[in-house]
Amino acid sequence: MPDFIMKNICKSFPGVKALDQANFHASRGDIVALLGENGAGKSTLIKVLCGEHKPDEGEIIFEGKTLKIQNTRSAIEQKICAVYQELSLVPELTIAQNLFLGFYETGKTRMVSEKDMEQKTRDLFVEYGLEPLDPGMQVKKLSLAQKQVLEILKALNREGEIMIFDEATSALSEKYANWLMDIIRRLAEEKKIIIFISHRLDEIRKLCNRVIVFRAGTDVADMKMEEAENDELVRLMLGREIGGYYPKKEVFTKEETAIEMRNVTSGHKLTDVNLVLRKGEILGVGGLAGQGQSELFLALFGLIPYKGEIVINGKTVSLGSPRDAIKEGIALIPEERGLQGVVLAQSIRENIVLSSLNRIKNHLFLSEEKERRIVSEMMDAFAVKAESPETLVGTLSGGNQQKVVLAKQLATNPDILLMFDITRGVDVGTKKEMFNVVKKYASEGKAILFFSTDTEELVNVCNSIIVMNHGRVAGRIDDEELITRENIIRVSMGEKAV
Amino acid sequence: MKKIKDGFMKSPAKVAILLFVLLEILTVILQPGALSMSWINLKAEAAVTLLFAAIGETFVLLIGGIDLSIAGVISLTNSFSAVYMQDHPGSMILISLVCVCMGAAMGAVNGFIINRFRIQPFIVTFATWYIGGGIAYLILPKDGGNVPSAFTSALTHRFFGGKLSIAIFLFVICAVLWMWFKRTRTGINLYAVGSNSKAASLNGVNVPKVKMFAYVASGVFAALSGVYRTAVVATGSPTGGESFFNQAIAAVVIGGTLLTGGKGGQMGTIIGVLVLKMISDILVFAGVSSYWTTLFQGLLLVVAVLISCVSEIIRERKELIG
Amino acid sequence: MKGNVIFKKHQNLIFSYLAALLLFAAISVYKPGFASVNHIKVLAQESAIIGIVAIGQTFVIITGGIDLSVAWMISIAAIMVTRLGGGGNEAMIWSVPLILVMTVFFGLVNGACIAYLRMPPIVMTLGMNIILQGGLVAVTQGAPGSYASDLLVVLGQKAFLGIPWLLWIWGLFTVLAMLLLFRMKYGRELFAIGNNSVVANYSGINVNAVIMWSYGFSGLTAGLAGILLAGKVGSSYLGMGDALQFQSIAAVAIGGTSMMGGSGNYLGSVAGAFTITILLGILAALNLPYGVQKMAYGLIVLGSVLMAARKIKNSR
Repeated sequence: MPDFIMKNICKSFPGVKALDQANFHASRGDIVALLGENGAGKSTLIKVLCGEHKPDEGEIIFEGKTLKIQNTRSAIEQKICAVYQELSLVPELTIAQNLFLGFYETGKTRMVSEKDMEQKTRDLFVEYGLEPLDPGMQVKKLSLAQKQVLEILKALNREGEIMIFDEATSALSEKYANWLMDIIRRLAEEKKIIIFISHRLDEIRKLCNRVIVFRAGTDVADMKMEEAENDELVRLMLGREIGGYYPKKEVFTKEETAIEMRNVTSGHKLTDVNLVLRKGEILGVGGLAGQGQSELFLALFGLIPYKGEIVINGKTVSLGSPRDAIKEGIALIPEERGLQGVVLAQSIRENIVLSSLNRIKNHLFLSEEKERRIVSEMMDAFAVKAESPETLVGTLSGGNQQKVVLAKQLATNPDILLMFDITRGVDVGTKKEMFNVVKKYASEGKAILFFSTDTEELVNVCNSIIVMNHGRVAGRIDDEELITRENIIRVSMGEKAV
Repeated sequence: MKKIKDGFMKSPAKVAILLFVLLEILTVILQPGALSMSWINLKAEAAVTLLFAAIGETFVLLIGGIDLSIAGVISLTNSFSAVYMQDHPGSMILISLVCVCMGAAMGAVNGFIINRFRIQPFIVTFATWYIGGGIAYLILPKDGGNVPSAFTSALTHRFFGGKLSIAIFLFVICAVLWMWFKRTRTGINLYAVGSNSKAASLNGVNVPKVKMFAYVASGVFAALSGVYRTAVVATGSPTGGESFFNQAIAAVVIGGTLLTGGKGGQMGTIIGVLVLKMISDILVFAGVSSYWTTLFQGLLLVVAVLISCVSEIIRERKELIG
Repeated sequence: MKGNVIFKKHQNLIFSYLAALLLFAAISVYKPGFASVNHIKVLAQESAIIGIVAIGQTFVIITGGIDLSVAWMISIAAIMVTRLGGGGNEAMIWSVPLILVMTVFFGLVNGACIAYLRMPPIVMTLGMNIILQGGLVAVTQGAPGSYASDLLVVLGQKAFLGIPWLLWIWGLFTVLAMLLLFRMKYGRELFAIGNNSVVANYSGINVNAVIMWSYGFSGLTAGLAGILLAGKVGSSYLGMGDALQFQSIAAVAIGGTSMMGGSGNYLGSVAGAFTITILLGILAALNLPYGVQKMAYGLIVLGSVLMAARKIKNSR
């Protein structure tokens, strides 16, 4: 009998069943990897465990006793501690105040002794072998990596018996990622239970002894790490064979340049980027996470200021806002669907025409007829499944929401499509449809810049790939034969594709 | 010295401190005899009502909320104490306590509705402001009441042969209490909730409780303000508190506490109150008609916020461009 | 099925009108004179002023903001229209446009500071209100206002074809507001911004300009209301717009427009304006003290936002 069991956990949100009879178990000393696609239910499971959400059904048992987790506080008091992906730090408080947040010790005067706390903070830094930071510094002044280290330290300091690390290495350099892994191994030796969530398979393989795979809100596999093949894990996560569902690659690339970037620089994130995107081309953007890919897209859509030149159809354009970009025939499918892509509280109809209101105008007024035509045309083109165009987008499934985002941005009749991770958190069927859409638009001569966190996707969809590293374009792979995962990594490390 | 300079540059109240010093110098130049102890006592007494109102409001702004109902609470407690207080120490204490309880109750209602139904604090306290103000009218339909003169003299008593007024003590007490309070658990939690309530909640901070605390504190201080007004003005008015929301917000914001929460504090507010009060004096000294006071107070409010907003935008742009 | 959908969509609206009607019916039974044609005209004129201020307020609240400067925009407009050029009929030819341009300008200043400089709407508009109050008091040296011109009095008190002029004007502006909100590009942009300004920006909407103009529009309707109010009262005085500040916001809240922004309908605010005046009439008819009126205001606003909040919860 394992020491820790989560049994038949169910949790529904309006329109979505996030967890459906999900199970999880671990024994003391285990380092369990929790794997799954976005939206598979991993984070909901963690939120249930940490008291952020109350489960609709199910039981959590630790050492034979049922745990009652009323809220986040009671979870921490029952020794369940988490390193949150989105970081649970308060920017206005100091490092010391953040480390002990929620659990300040006070003396007779009921005051929190700043001095003691700062000393303890320094001790903690030393204990875990870190370069000490000024404990009185406000957290908002730290870099993202420093914040993540602090978030880890905060959880460690609570001395939990069940420790959760949710994408805890995402902002860390390799040195600190190794530091964290050493600590986690030490915790496991102390017979704690570790739940480790990461999208880096190599990391998981190095660290974990067991792996549990989630798909569609439930656990689909539980195995020993050494028995799990990478391919099999991916297949379990996706619920399909790898590769099989990509449309056949074809090249529609034409001679004419659709858009060219010359020496584009933006802040520290984008340095001297030179790039040529041709009509009909599907150009992939690869590289490790956070190497400036997202800034590249933002700059091209007028969302961040840049220096340098962007040329469209031989004309230097100035992209100061998304309005300018849309006027120049650019469309962006943004990263965060619900925050940037669609207005969840409005109907499909209102969303689809939102970027192209000028197209449905008859002089002063909006034409219902034109609107209806565009809406039905776009809903058909993307096979949006909904009762009617009046359905609120927020009630649709993730895949259908993403289709509305595409429909909305493509309703502007753009020539250049910037697609940022369009398949994130989308089910397999929809993914397939989307790849077909990408291909169709390329065949119509549209230029497509395509980013995906899934390298497999880049390899199977794109005609050419640029690889980014430290805000620069580290290299470009144009030869169809050379577009492989390995070569993308090679180029990002400064070597040549072979 | 360097430490003081650092502390000053970091202080959210630096605009207020600069203004304060500037106004102080102006006062001395324009009216050399003005800085007598009796003048300071008088000014302090005139400022306490606003001080309490602004302190209450600061608690709420720190958690990122807003409380318009302080205007209603001040009117209500001012009217209530002016009508029911008898010339007897027991009655004075009892009525004052009842007033404080009324303020706390109003704050609790605000806090409850905001926590439970997740409605914008603005509209909730907007409504409770009118409810409080309405009750004030029912208690005292017209300015008046019957304030025992002993109550006035008790709260405007001067110690050391007329050298130090209670008002000055109240300023000092508020400052000292704040220095203590902001180091307590609840004090730090106020900032945590105002800065990032989601993160605070994930760390086990009871966010609704902290919010409730802020609204109740705001109600209690508004009640104190109303009771003090009864003593210094020696009369009650059903509209006595109406202008205090504007003034309190102005004082708090000038003092460096922003509406976004998590930034600022009572020290800034105390200076903000003084700045706001000094402006009208300076204008009088400078021979400007008192009709201009309101205009300058309004401009000051807007400019103070403008400075902090614009510097934030500049900082952000710098970060983006690098 | 379809009727049900329409009912659900306009649930807030229907409730607001039902509440106004119910109040009206109850008091009419109790006090038969209440429902007389003349009294209804009086109520309608009262509602018209509130309703006109509520137009701009509705726009601003849909963006998720608030306009606390309408009180003294109204006062300024009223004082100016009665004093500029002696306040006669002829002077209005130039004074009315001038006043409206000025209040729109003040509104645009509000909007520019809020949208481009990211000032919190509460502080900015409150500050503007104090500045306008201070400025007006300073310029007039606290002197009382003057009498309204004959033309203003006709507009504010008389009827045309049996319907008060104020109602004609209000009706015209209601149609305009509804066209703007639901038939024009601007309205779509307004709702999108109120729901999610990031998505609006990503969709190529000029978010800052749209927000700025919503405050400009609020300045326009407040200025217009001030001019008409002077005519309705017959004279102007300092602070005559103060009550309308609360009433306009209350009308919007009662009308079911979400204080968070993103959803709402000006027709709801119309019902809200009626509800407020009927309530006012009831309290006057029953001879209840002013305190009860104030409390009733607070309670009805609280009640309607609580109801709206519960509906949101249920629909989730």
